[in-house]
Amino acid sequence: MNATESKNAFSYEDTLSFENAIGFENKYLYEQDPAFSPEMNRKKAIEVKDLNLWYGGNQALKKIYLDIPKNKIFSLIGPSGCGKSTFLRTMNRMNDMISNCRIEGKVCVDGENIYGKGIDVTGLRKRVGMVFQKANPFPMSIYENIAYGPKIHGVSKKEIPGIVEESLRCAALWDEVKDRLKEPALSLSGGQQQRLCIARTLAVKPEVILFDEPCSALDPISTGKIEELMAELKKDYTIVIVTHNMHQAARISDCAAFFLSGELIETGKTAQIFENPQDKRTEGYITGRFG
Amino acid sequence: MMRSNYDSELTKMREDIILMSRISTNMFEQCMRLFFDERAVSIQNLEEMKKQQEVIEKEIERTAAKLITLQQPVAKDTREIICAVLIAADWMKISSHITDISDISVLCTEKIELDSEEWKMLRLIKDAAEKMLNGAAEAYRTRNTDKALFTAETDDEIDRTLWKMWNNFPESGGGSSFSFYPLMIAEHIERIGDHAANICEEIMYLEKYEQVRLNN
Repeated sequence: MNATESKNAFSYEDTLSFENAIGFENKYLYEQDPAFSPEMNRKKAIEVKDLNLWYGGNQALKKIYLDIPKNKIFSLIGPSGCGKSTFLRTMNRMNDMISNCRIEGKVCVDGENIYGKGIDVTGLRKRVGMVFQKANPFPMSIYENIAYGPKIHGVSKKEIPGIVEESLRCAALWDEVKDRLKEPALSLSGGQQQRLCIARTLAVKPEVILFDEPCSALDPISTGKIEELMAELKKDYTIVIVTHNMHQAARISDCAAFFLSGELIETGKTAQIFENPQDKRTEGYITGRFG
Repeated sequence: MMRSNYDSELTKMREDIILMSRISTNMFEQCMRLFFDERAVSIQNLEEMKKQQEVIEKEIERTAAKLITLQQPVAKDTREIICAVLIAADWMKISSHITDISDISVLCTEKIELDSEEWKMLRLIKDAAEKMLNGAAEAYRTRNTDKALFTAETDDEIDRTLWKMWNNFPESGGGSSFSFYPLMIAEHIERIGDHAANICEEIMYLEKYEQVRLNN
């Protein structure tokens, strides 16, 4: 699905009523009511059902059920080692690269189980892009960094300049780099490099963008720019973010999920989680009293 | 270490609120003696207690601003801090009404006819307000939302009695036997009841995360 289709498919009110209808507080939704209408299923970007993950003999994710709505920012919070980054990486099969990793259950992106047979993992990672904790531009020019993805996905040469400009504009970087596109990407500041990585992700037109602590190495100004950017991007993309910064999660996300020891403890609208969490463990963590 | 300091500052703020509630209830009791028990009560003492309240209220505001800025509280901690500021302001306003009532005692030079209808009604209002102040103080101290709801119900009793007092007020602007002072005092007590009901609302928000309207 491209950005325009996604934007026009559902209004904000539709999404709200959808949220009210399914109630994100209920993490065992599928156990209770597996028969969702096709209309509702269309509004879920990602559905996770009974997901279990092991690293060797260590179970890192336990019976996770979670829906991630389209065109929202969904934050994953929890103490170090709770499984949130592992969970994030299951959404574009980044865990496949870990030799002793075993996964059971379903992760459906736009209704399709990405752990099903015959899934093209490269195609999946185009649909579900990822931005990492540390900005990792390629050691090439700013322009080439953005052009690289579309090129390997077979986009014609004449389309590339337009994609580069559009991606840099969407990542709020165009005005800062338009006169030096041929300069090395590594000459950019840390915050600019991170926005370049976001632009690189946008260039291949994903449906979902996964952010793994994207601002942890950035100063408050750069962090603010990334957060504003995410708020803009959610109009066209679904965003899932792992963050240790509780206030960042509270500021930017629409929904949040709290993980602890590989379990999904609580999920719901961000305001609900941060104003009146239902589980004592969630409250203990977000108020800084344990974790 | 950081969190234990944070927790101890929150605890101190709660204790300050409880102290304010004790001072206000004590002030109310002393102030009412001025009229009903004919015992000598120093108005100066009430003023000093009010000043003490002002110092505590400022300290609560200062702590709240510091905790919000430095600790960035969430969940119940946020409500705890917001409610501390609101409740402190309500106790402060209660104290101000009490000192206003004590000022009326200076103006009231006439002989108080405690058997008259208006003074009897004032006593009813005073008893109800006393019940509300003690109830609100206890509900906060014990975090008892049932007690808060029950306490707030008494506010209607005060409003009804005040309404009756106004209805008894002579249309001519006061007959020879009518004293205006009980009505003036009752107006202040009615406002005290409103602030006590506000405190009960704040306890509901603090404990249940429910914004209820108890002060009608």
